[in-house]
Amino acid sequence: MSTKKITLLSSDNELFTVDEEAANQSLTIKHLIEDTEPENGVPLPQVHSKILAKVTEYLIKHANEPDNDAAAKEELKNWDDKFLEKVNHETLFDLILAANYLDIKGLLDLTCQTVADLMNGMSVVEVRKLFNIVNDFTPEDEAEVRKRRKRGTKTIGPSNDQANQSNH
Amino acid sequence: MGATLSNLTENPNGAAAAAGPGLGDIPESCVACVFMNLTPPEICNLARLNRAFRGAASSDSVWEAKLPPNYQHLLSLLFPLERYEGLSKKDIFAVLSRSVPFDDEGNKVVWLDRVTGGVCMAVSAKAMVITGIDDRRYWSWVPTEESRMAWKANHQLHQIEHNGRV
Repeated sequence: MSTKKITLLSSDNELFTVDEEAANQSLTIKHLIEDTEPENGVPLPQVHSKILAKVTEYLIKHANEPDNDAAAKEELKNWDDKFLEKVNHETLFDLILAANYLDIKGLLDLTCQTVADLMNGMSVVEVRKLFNIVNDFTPEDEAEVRKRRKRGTKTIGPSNDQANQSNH
Repeated sequence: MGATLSNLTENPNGAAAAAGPGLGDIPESCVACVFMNLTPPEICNLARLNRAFRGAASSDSVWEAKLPPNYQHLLSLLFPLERYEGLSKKDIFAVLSRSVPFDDEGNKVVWLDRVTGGVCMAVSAKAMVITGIDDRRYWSWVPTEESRMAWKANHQLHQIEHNGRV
């Protein structure tokens, strides 16, 4: 029995071929195939070939997820860990954007978990520095936050590092 | 210039990351997905990063996942409806993460653990039925700041039998 092949077209016109079962993990691709039946590959103008290569690698590996086989699940988990091990931050964020756009839940969960692990235990200043995050709060926003804090509505967060709040 | 140099040395991706997309560019829904893997104190801390993070840190979908599955039931047991009606899920978490007494004397309290979201409960010895508690030869009530109930029961016996109802 031969499985149907799906061709994906990256933003820089590179073609990637995967089994339909692998491709269908992306709900966006699945719907595009159902709705438009594209003949010359599914166009994915938002995903560069560099990222689509990683995405298809993930889709192929996860095409047949084991249900009850503990050893196979363990192997897949180890593969997931290795999959993002040497990925730099820029690629990691591109993968999050691609997983979000292509609607691949497993890949979105995996990449977001990785980012969460990286940020865990860091101060706001450290996270801004490490990930190049620009503080886009207006002075009005900051005043509003301070007002909320004074009213005591925000009681869950740590209160000892208010010094980190501005200057960045 | 000094700042630029230190940025380059401290960022493992160097200049490439500065030019490409950063964590600050990912949409709020993705930030919410990141928050699914972090604890409530971490989320409140990271809400100060930028607007997308603050937006996600207030979203009901994130906080619903941090609340215990029976939080609606807890609320209805502990508060009159007008106290929590219309509150965001985040504010509900804040309300429940303080100690809330659930008997008239304040001898039984319930609260959510701020890190795990687990339901915690404390019952004062005063709210328990303890065999022989009135026998001063073996028991004494001692005021204390160590206990959240302000009193503790000291016993001088090895064998204790107690029954409590919550």
